[in-house]
Amino acid sequence: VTPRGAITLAAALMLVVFALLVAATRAPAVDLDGRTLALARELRCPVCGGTSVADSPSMVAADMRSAIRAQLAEGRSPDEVKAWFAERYGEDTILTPRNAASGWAIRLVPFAAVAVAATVAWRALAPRRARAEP
Amino acid sequence: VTDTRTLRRLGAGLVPVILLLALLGAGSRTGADPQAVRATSLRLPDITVERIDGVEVALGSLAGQVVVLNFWATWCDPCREEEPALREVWRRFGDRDDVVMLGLVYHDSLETAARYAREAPLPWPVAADPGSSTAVALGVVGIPETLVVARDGQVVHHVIGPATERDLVPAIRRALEGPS
Repeated sequence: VTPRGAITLAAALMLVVFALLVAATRAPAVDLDGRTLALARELRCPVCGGTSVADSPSMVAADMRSAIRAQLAEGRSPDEVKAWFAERYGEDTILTPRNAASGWAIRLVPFAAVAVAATVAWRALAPRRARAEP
Repeated sequence: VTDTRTLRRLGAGLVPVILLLALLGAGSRTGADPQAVRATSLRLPDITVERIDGVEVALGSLAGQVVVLNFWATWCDPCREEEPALREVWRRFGDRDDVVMLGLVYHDSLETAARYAREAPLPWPVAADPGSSTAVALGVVGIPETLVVARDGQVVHHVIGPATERDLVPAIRRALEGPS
């Protein structure tokens, strides 16, 4: 492997690690507490500027976390819960878009990054083709 | 000619600035009135609350009556400020069968609230709101907040901050005049 190829390979490996990290942080929580926290991060506390419901120590944020948990336990989807809060506290309560298409686009980012990294690595490791003589 | 052009450019540049300032000014409240009235499309939730005298009240069963809900706590100074206005509302409407007034305790010990209600005394019934479920369902962000609910369950008036009789009395009258 040439020095240039080694650098390319290292960059590709870093890209894979980054993609895995992104995928790990985007992985949906499975338990109720985890899902409550994840959804609370996506809602803005109505009395604390830009702080999320998950991070705010305010009373209303605590109440909202309880309401999120109760509604998820009842089987409501995250989008339904967000819509419920938007109706009560305004559309700007939602920190992340409710649009399903953009949600899928975000989830696809790690896979796209891995595909790009794999292509770069394959090109770096593949034997160089003999140049055709003119 | 150059001066005219410069003035025109300056004027054209100032227009968006003036518009922006006008918009900012329109968004801020002026005057000393501390309360804000919020438009709402919410309905009274079908939640059962327990009064401090042990009587359970299903909010959903209050349809057909005008409901005045006041969220308060004993630690809340503005809540005491608005108490005379609420007493006036009670004096005017408390004896009517088609008006229900209910104080809902917000983040406070029910025991402390009950003692306060007995000693003050508060003439209107007071109930607990466990987990603030009623407060959250009605978009309450703090206290005091007072809501007027029409006979059909629609919230028609939402006062954020200390309520005044000048504001509540007409809202209750309008709700009473609505369809029964």
